Amino acid sequence: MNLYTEYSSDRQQFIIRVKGKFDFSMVQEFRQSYSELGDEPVTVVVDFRETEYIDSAALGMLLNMRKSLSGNPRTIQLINCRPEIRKILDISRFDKLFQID
Amino acid sequence: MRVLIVDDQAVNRQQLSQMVTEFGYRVLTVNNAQQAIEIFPDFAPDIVLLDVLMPGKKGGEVAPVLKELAGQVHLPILFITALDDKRTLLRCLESGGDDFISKPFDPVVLSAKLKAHMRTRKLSQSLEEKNRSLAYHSSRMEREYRIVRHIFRNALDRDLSDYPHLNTLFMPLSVFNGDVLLTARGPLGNLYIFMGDFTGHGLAAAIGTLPASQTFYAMTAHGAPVSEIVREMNKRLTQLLPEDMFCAAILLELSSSGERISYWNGGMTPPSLIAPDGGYVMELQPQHVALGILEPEVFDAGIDSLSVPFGSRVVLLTDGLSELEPTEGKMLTSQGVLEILADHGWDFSKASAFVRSLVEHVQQRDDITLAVLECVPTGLKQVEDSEALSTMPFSVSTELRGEEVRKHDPVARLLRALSPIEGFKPHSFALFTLLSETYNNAIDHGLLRMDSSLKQSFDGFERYYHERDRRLAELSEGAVRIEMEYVPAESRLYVTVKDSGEGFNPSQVAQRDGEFSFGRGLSLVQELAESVHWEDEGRCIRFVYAFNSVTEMTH
Repeated sequence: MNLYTEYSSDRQQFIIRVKGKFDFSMVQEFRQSYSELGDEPVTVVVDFRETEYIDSAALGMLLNMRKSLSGNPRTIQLINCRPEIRKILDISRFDKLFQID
Repeated sequence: MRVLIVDDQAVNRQQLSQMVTEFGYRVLTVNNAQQAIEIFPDFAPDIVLLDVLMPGKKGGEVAPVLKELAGQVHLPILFITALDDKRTLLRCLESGGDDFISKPFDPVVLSAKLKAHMRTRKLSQSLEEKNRSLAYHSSRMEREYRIVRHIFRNALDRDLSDYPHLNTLFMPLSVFNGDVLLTARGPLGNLYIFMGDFTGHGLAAAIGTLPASQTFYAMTAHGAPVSEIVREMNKRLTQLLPEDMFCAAILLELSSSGERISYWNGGMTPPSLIAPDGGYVMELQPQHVALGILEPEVFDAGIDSLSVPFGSRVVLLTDGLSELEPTEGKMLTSQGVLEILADHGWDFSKASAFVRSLVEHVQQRDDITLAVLECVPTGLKQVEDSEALSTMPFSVSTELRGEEVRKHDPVARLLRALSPIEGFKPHSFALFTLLSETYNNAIDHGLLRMDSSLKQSFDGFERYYHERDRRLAELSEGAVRIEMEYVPAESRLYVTVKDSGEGFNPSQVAQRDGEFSFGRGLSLVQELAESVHWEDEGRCIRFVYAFNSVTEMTH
């Protein structure tokens, strides 16, 4: 398994970590990881610390998540982005759609 | 028991010798001081009966010499005297004599005196033995302490002691510290701080810091998240520590940007978060019980994280400090520590000097640790050694046909082959994205004829990938070819990806597709590659990757 999720101890944050390749092979798993959130007003955090590679399919998945969670005004944070990942996010202007650290 | 009799008069020697032998002691008699000194080491007497008036050295002179020869163990010396001259007697006793026997000798008195002095001698002997054994054990322990201290230093001192934005004060109660403060950097430049307080203090408490630190260093080196690190530490400590021992601990991570802290606090005095202007913000409350108590199945590794403005501070301390009583019955508390820091204008060396002075006047009851972290960009990202690019030219190609496309992942395979080449590692991320985009484009749009507009509808994104899977499963013909040529003279990699599909107009695709499309992938390729162009009606995409794009741009 290359995808890990956890709640923060106050359950205000839902953290998703993708290990290794974040590409189209993760589509199902990624969708499922946040599908259980329902209407919980949590902040979703995608932690890239262990993500080795990403491609445009990953960007699509992030946008798709944003869209499907948008019924609830909440923040999606993209954290621990290495410079290479940051560059990909910047090329696609994701800084306008997500909180990037 | 051996008794040495020193007397120049044969009568005395004979009388005494006979009596003492009858008491059951071994006896040696000599007739002058010099002889007494000579035979002393061999005979090793327990008591000496020494004549006061002899030719040559007098009894009073020889007594100190014999005492010296006896070493650390008390040697009773009884002077033999006919004198009732009190002054001489006194002098004899002052010169080191312990008692005297006077002529005529009374066997009852002599026996009683010998017994009494034997007791003293034995007491002294056993004391001496105890001292020796004590000295032995203490030197052994000191040696062991030295070894253990060495091990502790090596195990714990791998930290970033010169990291400028973390100030620390350690005041262990003994040589070994039950408080532990570990710091490490993650591969992304994240800073990890572990502060733990094992039950008790001294060596017994410090011993737990070894497994804790090993786990900490091993996992932080891989940039593991806080939750995974504490989970593993708890597992090891629960396994190792006796039931009555545990470790209150906080593991805190500061992101490389310095803007985000994540922490897990298990029973530790809550650290305080201080605003850049010095104002109090909040305490990082313990959400969990200490490490080393709960079995892995019930352990809760939930972290908390928050964004912090530039220049915020986190003040971490152990209860050894907060529970210090500068005035009897009144604890310092965390609040008091913050006041000390504020009073000294957050000058850590001044504040810690003040804390040290406090401890001088009161009883320190536990190990004390204080640390102040400044939340600023860590600057800890390791600059990878820029290995010189390989100078060997090569070309590689692969062609997948029909069901081979289903079976293989040529992008991953090629990348595994490229990454180990000298100087390629820092570029493998960009190469992955480039290859993944162009290869998947060839599959999706060339071979599978997928329609990107499908991604537009609400659940279209997933339907798109469902449909892709379905078509891929049915794929029986068609081919994709990847060709790569590395030209070291130019520091460039030339890549061609061809498919046997019907072709399409890439410029139309880019325009037509909205948010979810190859358009996004294409823009990544355009940004990451030096140049891109299409051939053969979209069946062939060629791009050039420049390893040192900065210098190439000047051409």
